[in-house]
Amino acid sequence: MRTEFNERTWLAWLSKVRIIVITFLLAIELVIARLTVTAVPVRSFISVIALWYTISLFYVLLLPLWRESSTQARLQVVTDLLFANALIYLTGGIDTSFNFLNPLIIIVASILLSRTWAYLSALLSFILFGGILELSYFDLIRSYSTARTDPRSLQLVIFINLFAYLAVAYLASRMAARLRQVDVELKNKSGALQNLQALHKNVIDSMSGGLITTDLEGHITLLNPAGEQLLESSAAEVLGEPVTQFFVDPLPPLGPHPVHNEVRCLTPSGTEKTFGVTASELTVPERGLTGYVYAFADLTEIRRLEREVRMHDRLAAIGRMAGGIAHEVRNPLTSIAGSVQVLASISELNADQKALVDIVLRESDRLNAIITDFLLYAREKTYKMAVIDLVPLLADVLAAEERSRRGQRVEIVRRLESESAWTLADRERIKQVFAILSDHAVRSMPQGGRLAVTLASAQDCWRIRFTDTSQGLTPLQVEKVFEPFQSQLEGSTGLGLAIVYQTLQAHDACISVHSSPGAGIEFSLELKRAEPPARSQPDSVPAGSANVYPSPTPSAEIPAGVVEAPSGVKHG
Amino acid sequence: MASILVCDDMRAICGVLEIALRKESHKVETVTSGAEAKRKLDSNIYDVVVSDIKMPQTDGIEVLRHARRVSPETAVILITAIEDYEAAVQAVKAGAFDYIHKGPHLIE
Repeated sequence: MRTEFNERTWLAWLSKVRIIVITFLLAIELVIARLTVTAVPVRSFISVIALWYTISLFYVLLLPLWRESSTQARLQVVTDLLFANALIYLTGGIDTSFNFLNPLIIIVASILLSRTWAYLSALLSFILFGGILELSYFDLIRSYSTARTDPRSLQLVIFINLFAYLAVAYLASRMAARLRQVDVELKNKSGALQNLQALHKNVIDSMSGGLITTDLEGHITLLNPAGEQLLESSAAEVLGEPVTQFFVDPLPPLGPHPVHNEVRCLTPSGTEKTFGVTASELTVPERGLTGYVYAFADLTEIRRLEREVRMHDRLAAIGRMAGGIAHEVRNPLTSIAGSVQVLASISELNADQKALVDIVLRESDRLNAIITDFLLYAREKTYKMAVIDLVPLLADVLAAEERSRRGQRVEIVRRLESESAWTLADRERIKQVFAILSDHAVRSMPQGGRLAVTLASAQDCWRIRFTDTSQGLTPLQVEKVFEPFQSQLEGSTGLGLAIVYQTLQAHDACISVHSSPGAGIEFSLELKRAEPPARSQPDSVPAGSANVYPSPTPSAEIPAGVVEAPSGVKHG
Repeated sequence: MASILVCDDMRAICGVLEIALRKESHKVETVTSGAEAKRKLDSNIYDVVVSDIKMPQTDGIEVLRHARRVSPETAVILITAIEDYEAAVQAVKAGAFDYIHKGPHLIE
C-alpha cells in the first residue's frame, strides 16, 4: 500500500516533469536550429515532440483513472525511451546533444521500478541507441548526422554508452533501493513515534492527578483533563498563562530533582483548595531543559479530615479531663453537702444557722449543676439520629416550663404553623435545646413577661423562634452569647447556650440571635426538614399524641417589635 | 435496723455516709477499697452494700459481682460521681439494687 502510494506520487511528479523537459528540449532545439546550420528535420522533430507531448498529457489524465501504477510506470519508461531515441535519431544519432536522455530515463526507471527493470531499460536504451547508430552508419535508414566516423570509433561509442547505461542502472537502482529502505525505516519509526505519542496522550488524559507542563518562562503548555477539573479551568483558557496565577502559595523550587510542596489554590469559583504539587524539570535528550512539569493532587479533603480528627482528639482529651474534674469535684462536694445536711439534722438550728446551711446546700447545687453541664458540653457525644416530630417535643418542653416555679410568672405564647414538623435529629438533645432556650427566656425575665414560640416552614427547613420581652443584650453580649461562661443570668451555669450551639452544629442546623438593649432577645433556629416516616417509629411520637400536650393556639399573637430587633449578630 | 457495708475510696464520703446511716440506727461498717469490701463480704453477712463504682484496682462492679456470688441476699447500691449510661446499664445487668449519682443530695 505504502510503495504504491510512493509510486503514484513519483508518477505524478514524473508526468509533470516530463512535460517541462519536453518543452525545454523543444526550445533548445529551436534555438539551435535558429543559431546554427543543422541537418535536423525540424518538422519531424516537432512532430515527435508533439506526439510525446500528447502521450504525456494522456498519462497525466490516465493516472487518476487507472489504479495499476506499476504497469503505468513500465509503459511510461518504455515510451519515454522510444521517444527519446527518436529525438536522438532526428538530432543526428552520434552527433546528438540529447544523449543524456537515456541515462535520465534509466535513473527514473531505477527509482520507479525494480532493479531488473533498471537493467532492462539500460538494455533497451543500448539496443535503440546502438540500432540507430548502426543502421544510420550502414545507411539502412536515413542519417541526419553531419560527420562521418570510422566503424571502430562507432563501435567504441556504442559500447561506452552500453557501459554508461549499465553503470547508471546499477548505481541508480542501488541508491533507489537504499532510499526505499530508508523511507520504510522512517515510516516505521514515525509510526512508532505516533504510537508513543498516542500512549503518552492516553496516559496523561487518564491520570487521576493534575498535570501541567510549562515552558522555561513558566507559561502553561499543557493541562490534562484531571488538572482542568481540579483547577476548574479549561486547558484552552489557560494555555500560555503563567502557572503561578492559580496558586496562592509559591510553587516548589525548581531543580534537577523533583520537589514536593503543599500549595493552596484559589479556583475561579472562589473555593480554596490544598494541592500537593511535585515540580520537576522537563528535560529532552539532545535538547536539554525545555520546561517544567507540575504534577498535583487535591489534598483538601484529606487535610480537612485530618483537621477533624485532630479536633476530635482534642475534644476527646478535653472530655476525659472533664470526666476527671467532675470526679474529683463531685466527691468532696458530696461530702461537704452531706456533712452539712447530717449536721443540720442532728440539732435544732436557729434562723441564721438554717440560712447558712441553705447557702451551703444551694451553692453546692450550683456547683454540681456546673459540673453536670460541663460534662454535657465537654464529653464526647454520640447522637441517636431519627426522624422526629418537633411539634409535640416543643409542646412538651413548654408545658414543663409553664409548670416550673419560675415559668409561672411568664406568659408563654405558642404559634405553631404546622401540625407536624419532621426532622432528622436526636430527640433528647433537641428537647434539651428547646428546654435551655425556653429556660433562658424565662430566666431573662425575672419580673415576668412574655415568651413567644413560633414554628414555621422556611424553604427546606423548619424555623423555630424563641422571642422574649426581656431587657435584651448589648452588641458585645450578643457577640459572645454562645461562648461558655458568658451568661450573666442568676443561677445559670453559663454553659446552656454553648451546649445549644454545639448540639445544633452537630445537627447541621443553624441558630441566630437578634437582640438589643431594651428590645428583648430572639433566638431563631433552623432545622432541616425530613420526610415523615411511612409508619410511626418507636422513636417518633405517634400521630395524635400531640393532643396530650397543650395544643397550639393559632389565634395567639406575638408582640410586635420584639421580633424585629434593630441590631443583632448572626451566629452559626 | 440493717447491717450496712459502705465502700468508697474517698474517706470523706465513707465518713458522711457512716454518720448519716448510723443516725438512722443502722449498723454501719466502712472500707476504702474494693478488695477490703470483698474480704468483709467473705466473713460477714450484710443486708446492704453501698459501693462507689470508680475505685482503683477492684471497682464497684467487681464488688457487686462478688456480693451476688457469696451473699445473694445482700442488696447492693452503687454510687457514682459521673453520669455514665453504660455503667448504669452494666450495674443493673449485674444485679445492682440501685444506682445513685453522687451530689449534694446523696444523703437525702
